[in-house]
Amino acid sequence: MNEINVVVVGCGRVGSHLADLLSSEGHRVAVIDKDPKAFRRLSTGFKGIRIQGDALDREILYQAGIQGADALAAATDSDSLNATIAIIAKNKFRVPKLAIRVFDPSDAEIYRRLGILTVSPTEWGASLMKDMLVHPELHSKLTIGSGEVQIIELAVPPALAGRPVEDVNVPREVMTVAVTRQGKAVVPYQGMLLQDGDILTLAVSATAMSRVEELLSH
Amino acid sequence: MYMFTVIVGAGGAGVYLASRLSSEGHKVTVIDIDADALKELTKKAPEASTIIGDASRIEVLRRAGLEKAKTLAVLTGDDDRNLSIAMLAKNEFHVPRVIARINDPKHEWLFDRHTGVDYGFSQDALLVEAVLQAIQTV
Repeated sequence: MNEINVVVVGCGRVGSHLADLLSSEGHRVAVIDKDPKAFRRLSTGFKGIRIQGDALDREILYQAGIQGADALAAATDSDSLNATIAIIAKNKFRVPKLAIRVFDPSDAEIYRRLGILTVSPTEWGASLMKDMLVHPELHSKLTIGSGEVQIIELAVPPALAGRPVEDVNVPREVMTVAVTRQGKAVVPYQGMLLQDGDILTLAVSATAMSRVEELLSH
Repeated sequence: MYMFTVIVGAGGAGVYLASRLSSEGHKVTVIDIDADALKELTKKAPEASTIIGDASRIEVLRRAGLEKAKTLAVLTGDDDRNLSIAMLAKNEFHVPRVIARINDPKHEWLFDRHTGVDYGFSQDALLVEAVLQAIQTV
């Protein structure tokens, strides 16, 4: 795997956790926070650098290595500060990958339009909790984007055994990406007949979880 | 010529600017989160319209009619708010002239077209310039 240089702004719960994760995977991480006590949240194994100061101060950003950074994440508790830092990283330093945390879902949409990957824990948490409550058997293996697409796995329902794989797919909503038969996964071909005991891996639009419920209840 | 200006921040500078512009017959709308500050403003600039709300929220800017404004002056005491409001004004409302107050001289480098700012003014820098000029003319 390629190690990347990442600047993390904000060493709160999200920022420190992110910095620890990246550092444990061998990436080079610099964390900025204005509060020196915030760095206590980092684990003892954290190998990156800690910079105490104002992330809007050019010297501080230089110290964090913004000029050669491959990615920047802003997770302070201020939406406007996170957005400002990302815009600066994008427009002044050409940092290729940017991710910010924004509490307000309506703001998240605006920043996505500016080309910044925006995670809104409010939006995401709500959608995840809804799925856990309403579709408990469909646990997500992976979420794509900000949770708009989920990858889920399920056993072929008896009613679908003997039917071609296309019968599962619904344009823009459900797509079968793999079929696992006797422990071996394949990308399905047109007309592949499903068998009892097959495991389907589906990409499902978050708004179409009820479609999959329908499939299961057949 | 008649002009429409939106001002964010009803502090000393915001109030003074609003009263100067409206006394010259220009249309002015002032946004501030603090209702009391706006009440004070109305005493000094009775023609100015006021909006209570957080100007970093897009619907507040929309309520102020920002898309019709020729100029936006962002004068809050918080640089990251000034910058994010300037960015929204430029990217979402295409305001032709965005003027922003720089509070901390260390942040001066941020106030340019990359952040949607056409003119950035630092009170400290302006004051220092004036003082230096006064010293030299004595």
